[in-house]
Amino acid sequence: MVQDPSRYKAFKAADFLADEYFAATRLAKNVEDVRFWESLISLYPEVAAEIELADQWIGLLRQQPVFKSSLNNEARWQRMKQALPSYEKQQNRRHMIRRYSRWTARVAAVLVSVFMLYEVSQMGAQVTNTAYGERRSMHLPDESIVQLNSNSKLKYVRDWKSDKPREVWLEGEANFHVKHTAVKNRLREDDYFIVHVGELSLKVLGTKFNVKDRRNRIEITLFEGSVQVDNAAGLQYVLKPGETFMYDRIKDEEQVLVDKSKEALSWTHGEMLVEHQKLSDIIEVLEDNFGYSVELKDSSFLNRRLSGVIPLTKVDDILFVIRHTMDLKIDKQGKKIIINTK
Amino acid sequence: MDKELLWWQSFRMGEEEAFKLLFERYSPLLFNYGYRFTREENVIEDSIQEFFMKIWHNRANLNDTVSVKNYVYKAFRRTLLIHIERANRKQNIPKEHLSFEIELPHDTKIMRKERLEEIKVQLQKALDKMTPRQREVIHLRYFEELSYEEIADIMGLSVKDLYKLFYRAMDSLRKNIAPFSLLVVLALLFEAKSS
Repeated sequence: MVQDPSRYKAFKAADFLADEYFAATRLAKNVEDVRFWESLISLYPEVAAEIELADQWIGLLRQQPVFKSSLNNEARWQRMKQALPSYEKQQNRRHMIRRYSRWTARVAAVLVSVFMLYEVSQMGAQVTNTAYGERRSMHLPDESIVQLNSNSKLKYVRDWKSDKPREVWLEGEANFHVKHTAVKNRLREDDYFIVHVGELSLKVLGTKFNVKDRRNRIEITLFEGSVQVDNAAGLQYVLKPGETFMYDRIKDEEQVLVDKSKEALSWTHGEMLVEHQKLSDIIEVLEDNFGYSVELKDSSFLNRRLSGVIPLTKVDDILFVIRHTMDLKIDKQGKKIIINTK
Repeated sequence: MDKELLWWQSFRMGEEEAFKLLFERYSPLLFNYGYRFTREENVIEDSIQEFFMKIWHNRANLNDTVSVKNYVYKAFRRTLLIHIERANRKQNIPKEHLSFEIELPHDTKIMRKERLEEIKVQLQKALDKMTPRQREVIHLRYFEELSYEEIADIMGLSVKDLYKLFYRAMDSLRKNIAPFSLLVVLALLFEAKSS
């Protein structure tokens, strides 16, 4: 290592001590290095005292007292040899536990990733199911309100992106109160709310309407605003408030009725409004919304009609009305209802 | 090849003789090093014992090393610090507290210079003003004669951080020694003239 002597011209003792070359050569003396420092002193006599001081510091630091333990090496060795077997036993046990816990951790990691995969595969889908006899009211992320009738299912994506229309998928029956998000005079694709039901899609802005999909018949009743019904085959109809759009999924036939609004809405109050309705309509409700299977001993009853309001909250109340207004004998056994003449 | 490296390799193969040679060579050195951190001999002895039991137990998994001293000091320091922390916890001493003392030779008569006693007092004062970690670097550098790379490894620092620590120690030394150093220069010059 060749050093430039002028570097050290103005060095103080502390600078020498801190200097790597100086320290290295003072700790491991070799003749060449000793000569370098000697020549430096003859070149710059003023650094002599500083080098001297730095040397003394190093000397003092090197000659620190060595502290000795009360244990000598042999005693220490014996002590360790005695402690070793129990130490090794303890370490081996710890090793086993560590290996065991590593396996548990692995199993846990697999379970977690399976769960994550499932979550990801669902892509944040939010599904609500209602049981027989259950009705549920819920708020969607955009503050629209949906009342879901019994035995129905509503599915939507958990977070609605602002640049896409809002979309929900319905099975069964639901009443929608959709929040209007469009700014006046500026309608965009993402302001739409789309309900997918069977093969139909209902495109709406802010409206109130009821959708019912039972027994391959879809009924859409509009209370306020407007709803545009589309299907893949090119069917298109724009409903006016008060209209009911009925679509037969088997026959692929549609029909528009008026004056069904009250009827369509009545379930949301826990009632069934029937005007000149056949017994068959009530049986449908018992089967679709409450999950009963109804057996008729005589099919001629099906065409018997009745009018009025039937409470829908309890099956027994419905049966009570039928029994007394139609004068029929009704037996309920578990999930089975048998209707017969008295 | 270095004698210690041969011991190290034989020890890793499971030769107890070599292990004992390493034990006898290093345990007094480690005791002395440990004594700078704590004055509790039990803590140091327990750390030495655990360190050697640990390397014996794990000998098959140990790496071949370039410097046995570097490895031994580094691994021992880690074990010792755990033991000190455990002992401190019992006495409610804060976790961060880890002292390191440098004690200069008591008997300076073995050295020739007359003014050495004064120089020693000044150096001791300057050292006392440093942080424990600064003192540790100085000890490892000038007493243990380890390189900066080795010291950084032992203390678990990057070489860059180690340099920073070292230069801060030197700044502290400069600051605390300055007024005296002039005196020494004059005295030495005077001495040189008179002799």
